[in-house]
Amino acid sequence: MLVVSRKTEEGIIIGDSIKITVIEIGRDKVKIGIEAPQDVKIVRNELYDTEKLNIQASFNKMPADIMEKLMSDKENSRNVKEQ
Amino acid sequence: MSLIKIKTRDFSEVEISDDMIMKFPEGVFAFEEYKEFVLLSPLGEDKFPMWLQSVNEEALCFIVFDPKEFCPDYAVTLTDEAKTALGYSQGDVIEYLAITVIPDEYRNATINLKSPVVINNSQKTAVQMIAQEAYPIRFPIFTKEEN
Repeated sequence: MLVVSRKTEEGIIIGDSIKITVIEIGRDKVKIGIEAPQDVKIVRNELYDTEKLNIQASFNKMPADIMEKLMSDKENSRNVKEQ
Repeated sequence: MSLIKIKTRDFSEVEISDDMIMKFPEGVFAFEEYKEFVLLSPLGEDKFPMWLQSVNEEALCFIVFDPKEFCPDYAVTLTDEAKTALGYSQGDVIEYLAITVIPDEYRNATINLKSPVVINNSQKTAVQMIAQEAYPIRFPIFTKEEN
């Protein structure tokens, strides 16, 4: 991964058409501005990851009895630790 | 209240009471066009995991957990967007569900704590929300065995 340090109002340019600018730097948050062509989809990575996980999750089947067994295993291992 | 039959992904045809139906005005991420779901609890009332089943599309279903079962102090702030989608007003009873991803090796199952499904029990509405809080998007639910 390319890592660059930027200050407020500085930015980077990706290719010929995407410009990213640091607008504000807070204590644990940065605000960034993005200029890109209309056809470039921009989403927060949590949203992108969540969409992918949802699609994956929608295919996941689990027979209820197996899930129940796994849950009781977990419960048992927790009880053992507490003893 | 009346009983209706729906087709489900994992339990063939199931009879539900129509007041169990929750409205998802925005669907869930990646499945925005599906606006009605029911929560099925085949393991017993209030027992997780539960199955979040689309009312209109039998193939669309998620296995969900109560995040608090794994993360007892789980707490997220309702975003303004979520409040709007939920038709939220002060005093409404809110619950959270986490969607489970189950790989072939069941023990590597994870739940998404970053993007809970938020249910407004008072209005029978729900929305999936990306929490501002720093929770993992893949939280393992089965602790690895030591051996």
